[in-house]
Amino acid sequence: MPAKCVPISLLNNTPLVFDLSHVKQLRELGVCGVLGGTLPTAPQQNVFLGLPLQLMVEDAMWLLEQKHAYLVPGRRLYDCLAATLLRQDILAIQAAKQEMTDEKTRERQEASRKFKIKVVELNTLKISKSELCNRIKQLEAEYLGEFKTEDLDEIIQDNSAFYFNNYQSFAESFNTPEMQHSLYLQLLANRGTDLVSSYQIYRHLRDQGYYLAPGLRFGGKFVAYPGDPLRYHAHLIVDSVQNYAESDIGMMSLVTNGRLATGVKKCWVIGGTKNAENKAKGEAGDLKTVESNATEQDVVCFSVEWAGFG
Amino acid sequence: MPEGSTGGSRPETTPGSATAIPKNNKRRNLMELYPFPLPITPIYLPSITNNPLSWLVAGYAYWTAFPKLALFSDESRANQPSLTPVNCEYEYISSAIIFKVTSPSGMITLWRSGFFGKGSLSRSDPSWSTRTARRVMGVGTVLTSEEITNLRRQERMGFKNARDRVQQMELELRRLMSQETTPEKIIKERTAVLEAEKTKLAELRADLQKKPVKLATTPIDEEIREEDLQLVHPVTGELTQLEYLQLMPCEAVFLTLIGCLKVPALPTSWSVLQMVVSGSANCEELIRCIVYHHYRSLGWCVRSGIKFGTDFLLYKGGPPFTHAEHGIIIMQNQKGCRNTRWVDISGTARVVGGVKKNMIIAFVDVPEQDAYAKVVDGKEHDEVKLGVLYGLYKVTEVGYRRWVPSRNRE
Amino acid sequence: MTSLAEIVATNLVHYNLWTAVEDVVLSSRTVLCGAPPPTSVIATDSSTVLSDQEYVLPLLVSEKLTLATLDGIFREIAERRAGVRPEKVIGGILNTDGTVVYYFIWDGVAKPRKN
Repeated sequence: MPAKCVPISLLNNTPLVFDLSHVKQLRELGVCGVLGGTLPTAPQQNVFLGLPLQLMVEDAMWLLEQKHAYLVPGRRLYDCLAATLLRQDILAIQAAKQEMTDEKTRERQEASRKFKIKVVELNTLKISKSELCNRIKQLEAEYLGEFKTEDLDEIIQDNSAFYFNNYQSFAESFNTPEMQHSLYLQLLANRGTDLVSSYQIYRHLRDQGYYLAPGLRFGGKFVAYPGDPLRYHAHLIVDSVQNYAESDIGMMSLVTNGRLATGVKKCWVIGGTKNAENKAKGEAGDLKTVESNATEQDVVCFSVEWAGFG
Repeated sequence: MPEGSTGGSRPETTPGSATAIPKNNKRRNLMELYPFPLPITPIYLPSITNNPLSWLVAGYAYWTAFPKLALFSDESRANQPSLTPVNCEYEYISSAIIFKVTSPSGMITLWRSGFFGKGSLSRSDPSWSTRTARRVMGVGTVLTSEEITNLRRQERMGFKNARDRVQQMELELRRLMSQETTPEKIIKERTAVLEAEKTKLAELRADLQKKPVKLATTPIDEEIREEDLQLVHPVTGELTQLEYLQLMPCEAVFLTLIGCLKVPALPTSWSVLQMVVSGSANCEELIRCIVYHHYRSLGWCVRSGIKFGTDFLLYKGGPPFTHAEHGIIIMQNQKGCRNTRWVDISGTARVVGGVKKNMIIAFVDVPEQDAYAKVVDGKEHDEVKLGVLYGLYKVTEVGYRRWVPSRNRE
Repeated sequence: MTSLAEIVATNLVHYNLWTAVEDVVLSSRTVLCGAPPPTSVIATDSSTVLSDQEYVLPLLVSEKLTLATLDGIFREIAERRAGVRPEKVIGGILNTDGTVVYYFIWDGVAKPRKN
């Protein structure tokens, strides 16, 4: 399947992705984002978060620049979609969902009850430990196996929230140059003047194959992984300065971050761009300026580590 | 320099010192070595009661104690704090001012009574000449804290290299096992070797964790460098003293204020302060002086926190007694000052938390520039002025700790 | 008056036991070049081998440091080495209490060393 452009919803100027297939698609491109959704039924649980996926502004900028994505106004899209629904559609969806959950739950409970009884029976037999484990695994497959895989698919479909077949076409209707431009300004609206340089360094590292994630917990703008974060530890803690010639890196920053990074087996990367005057125009949020002025040679960065002596 | 006074008799400063001293004993020794939290000698006088005889005793005690008040720098009392202010010079290193104490007795006085300053060529107390004498001339037997740190680092490196080797062997073995052509015998042999290496590694690890550092019986095996030879006087064979005790500006101000330091050409603590501040109410160095003063007044031993990216570290007794408990970062109620980015605070907190210290944000309320200028230009006596100026500032503190909802759950 | 470079040089030679430490006078400032002790106590693995020509950049904790400054120092050192930028310089930062802390500053994006 040729990868389609991913619609990124802007809600409160925050870039979000609501569809699991899109999340996968972005991950293959090296954009991981952060899952931030809780369940409506259990909002206090905050360990295993789900959709939507929140992207960094820089992620979104890069995806747009590489033509992997386009922006949609989240609120308006939702309103449009909701408006197309008839009352009976809503009732039908609710009923179907209820029925499905009820039936599934009953079946699962029953299977789980049977499974437990069998396990108890097994325990009364005199068999070796490894044999016991094997038997339990067999039972698990026998009784609970079907729920594991099937459920997952169902949840995925369910979660696509897109009972709406017309979602994609609605979303694409926002993919016009004018609309994209105004949305792009919204995307940049919450960010200060540091965005240009921080985006430059973001792209510099992306071009070298790094995966980037927010770096606040390590005292940086980003952390960079040499591949998918599920497989690798981060190598770099990344920060940027606005102005190559003027901005103070900060000796205390260097000490703290160098020390912190080395302590967690990383390097602290500080970067920025030359020719700052050209870049300054990008501050206004002009997409064209940001793109055209950003050439690779302009990015200058250094990696700092505690030397281990002194 | 009197023999044994520079640090030759400082085994207790180091956690893993040569002769294993029982813990209580060690504590007592430390108390004996560092009895005073400030370079001020209390004079104990007998109590005065209704008995007229006690008046006589007290009178005599006063009489004999009086000369001590103006102690001369008596070499035999070099390790006793005295009321004679220690002499201190200052000089500029490009834009920074540094305060130096060069007299051996002054260095000892300030270090032993409150842990002021830092040996310019040492990690904390000025022990460079002891270290160097052993290294170059083979004199002395007790390890200084720097030497112990070095030995520990070398041990750890040895361990890490051994660990890398074992990991390599393990990988190699796995590769061999995955190849069907590998004879059973070779796999068996390799496995045995690997197991042996692993046991050795485990022993190394256990050693690292508990073993006190061994005293090197011979001088540490290093070549004498050309640079070292230049240190030894060709005729007398004495070692040149390169080290001095460096005081932070805030330490210099504080010590002058309590009368323990004298900087020629700068007669009062106010004049010392004027040397180091910029003249604006929110001058960073001034704020450092105030925060330093704040915690010293509350009985803490305050030292620089540069190693952990903080402004200060607070020790309960001092470095030989305990590790520092708190890292202080300074924040002001003014825009555009340091430590106002969350990213920075978060980073510093990680470093401080990583070395098991609390991070404290010392929040300083800075007065308006007008109020500041009024005091500075005021007519009070210099010594009074400092107090009035400090009175304009208010220090409050907030503890900061990283909290991870998924981990720090009750 | 002692210069910042002298203080850092003294610290390198007599505290960290470097040898052959020399001034390298650049247009904007003086950096140092020298050899770390052979039985290096540096907590590195074998992947970071220090050469006997390490460049040390003396810095004051209170001074302002920009990317341009660092970039310029790499460039100027390169001019003295047939145009080859050193892979790193070591920042030696002098604090107000006299401590000198050392940090590797690698040119570009570096891989962290194993610890």
